[in-house]
Amino acid sequence: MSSTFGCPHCGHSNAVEAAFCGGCGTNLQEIDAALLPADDLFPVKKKGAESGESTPPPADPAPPAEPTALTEPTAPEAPPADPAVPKASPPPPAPDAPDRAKPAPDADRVPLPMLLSRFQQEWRGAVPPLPEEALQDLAKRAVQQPPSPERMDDEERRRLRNLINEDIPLLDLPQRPANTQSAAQGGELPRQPWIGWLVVVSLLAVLLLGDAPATVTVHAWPGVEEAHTAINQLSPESVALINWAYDPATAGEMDLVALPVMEHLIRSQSRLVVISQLPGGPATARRLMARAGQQISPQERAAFFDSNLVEGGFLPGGASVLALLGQDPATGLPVDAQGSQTDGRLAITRLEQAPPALTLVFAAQAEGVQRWLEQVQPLNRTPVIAVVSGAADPALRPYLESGQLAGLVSGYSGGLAYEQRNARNLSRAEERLHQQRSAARNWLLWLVILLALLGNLAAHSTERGWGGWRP
Amino acid sequence: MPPAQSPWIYRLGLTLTAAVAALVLMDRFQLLPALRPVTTLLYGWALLLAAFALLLGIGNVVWVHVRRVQQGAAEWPLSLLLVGSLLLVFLAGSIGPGGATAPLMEWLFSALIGPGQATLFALTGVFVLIAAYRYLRLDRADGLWILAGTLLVLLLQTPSSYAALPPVLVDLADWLLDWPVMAALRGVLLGGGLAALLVILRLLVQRGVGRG
Repeated sequence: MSSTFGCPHCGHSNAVEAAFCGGCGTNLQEIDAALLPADDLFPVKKKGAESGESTPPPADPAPPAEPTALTEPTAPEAPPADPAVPKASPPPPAPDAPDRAKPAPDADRVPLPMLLSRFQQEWRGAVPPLPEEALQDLAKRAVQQPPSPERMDDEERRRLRNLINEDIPLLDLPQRPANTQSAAQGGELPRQPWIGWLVVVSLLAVLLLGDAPATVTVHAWPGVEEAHTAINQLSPESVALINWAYDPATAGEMDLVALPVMEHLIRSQSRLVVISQLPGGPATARRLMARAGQQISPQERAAFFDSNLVEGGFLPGGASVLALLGQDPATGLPVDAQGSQTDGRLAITRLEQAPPALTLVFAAQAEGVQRWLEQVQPLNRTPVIAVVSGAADPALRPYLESGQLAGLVSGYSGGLAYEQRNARNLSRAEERLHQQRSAARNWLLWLVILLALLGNLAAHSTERGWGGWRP
Repeated sequence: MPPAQSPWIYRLGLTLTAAVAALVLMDRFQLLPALRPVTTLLYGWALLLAAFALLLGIGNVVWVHVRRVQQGAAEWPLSLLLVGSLLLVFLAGSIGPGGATAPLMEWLFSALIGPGQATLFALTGVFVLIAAYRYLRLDRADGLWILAGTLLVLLLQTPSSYAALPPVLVDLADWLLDWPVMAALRGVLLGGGLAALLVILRLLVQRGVGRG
């Protein structure tokens, strides 16, 4: 028996222990050796055996091996065989692999596994092979780990995980040793538990003593005015779709931003269809809408909750199903299980004839808005307003500049600026709340500056020798 | 092993994936308007699959943690607590006419889930302050730029300092966000998109050749 055998796909000569073909990358381990001995089925093609080139006569003038049933019929001329390969006499044809040169009378009796294997080998040829180094690496790993089914399964999962999580090698920057950070680089400053206490005391002080000027002014970032104008233009008959992409974790900031916008939406008397892809999203939306409803008259509130609000509920599936909302919202939007909202169902069905007049995405992270702009807006061409946290603002500003966003309300400043555009007279309790929030922001700003200053002083003293002073 | 591990099945799955991707891409580029009903149907299937996957995930969580309790594995009381909480919420939502808006569900959300999530997220503020202490350094490489940018944006967003800032600084902050920051983020967006495409192609091609 020879130490090499030919690849069933390209005829390349491979060592018997090779896991993959060196010519085309075919996985040689998949050949069922028990059913079809590889050496018998895929003999090494001798140089010139098929191309008719003149070759030195072998020592043993045995006739050239004829292709067998699994040899590729349209394979190109066979590559040269390894000269170290001893010339073996042609193997007898396998009982299940009739000679393809002459039509086999029992061809229809080829076992199914062999046919599947043949189909698989041919199919593989449609994909270009991996580089040689990658093949060698894969073959080495495959040889080191015998193909036990369970181990292959684990290995497969690990490989796919690594492949997906692996960083794209863009730059080969030298790795900095872990212990070379100096104190000035923040590497040696111990964690300071007093910072936590300072934060707690500061927040308590704000709550108990904090105050701010009665008139709070904030910077109105671009996008707030545009959002306000777009909602102003909604007619009472129009339908606005709301994608609720935040939950209680981020409601502390997001409610401040979303509340004035929602209040404006309710006053517009347009019909709102609210959906969420977060399990806690619908409940968070209900709470905020209830709070916004308290700011309007009882008649407006009743009209909104009775006929203008459609709770679409939770929509699973992530980004993969968002496109359905752009193509066929009546199919994609869930309706209440009780079926009590017939009007709501009708409102959703109306979306089938015409897209919503406006879409609002309330999101704590930029990805929530980006998904919508990528998956839904190209399909329904609806203007989108983003109501987001301050952290999401920089990532979304390019979309506002490019016109994909019709408005952008972000962070506490955005929410406050929007509320000032609503031009509603605030109650004393609301004014007091605004003052407390503004005072808290002021305190925390100065706390950040103080801590940055202390950190610099501590690092400087460690480096320059102030007796290792540390706050 | 079951046939699911066989390369032939992988090939079939890969072929189906590629075919669906091609259909969706052609529909997105509006090459064949007649494809729209087909892709709508596919998206509908994806929605159903996602809902089923959710149920499957819940079943798997219950199965894993019930077994942990049965075997007395490490921290099994936490597993018991998890299964008990899950059953409680499930019963609260499924018994009674209110469904997800039943009073008990509302209470669970308002009294447990909401405050718990908000408390965990509030720790972010403490992390930010500690980071300001440890890493906003003037003598670090690029630290000056980070410190200056951080302070400028903070001053601009804080009520007490915004009124006192000269207009030129306000304009400077706007310019920073509108030009250099936006340019960098657009680069990040484009780079992220290209990287995702590269990973997908690598997965498909290497998957197709490397492991059969």
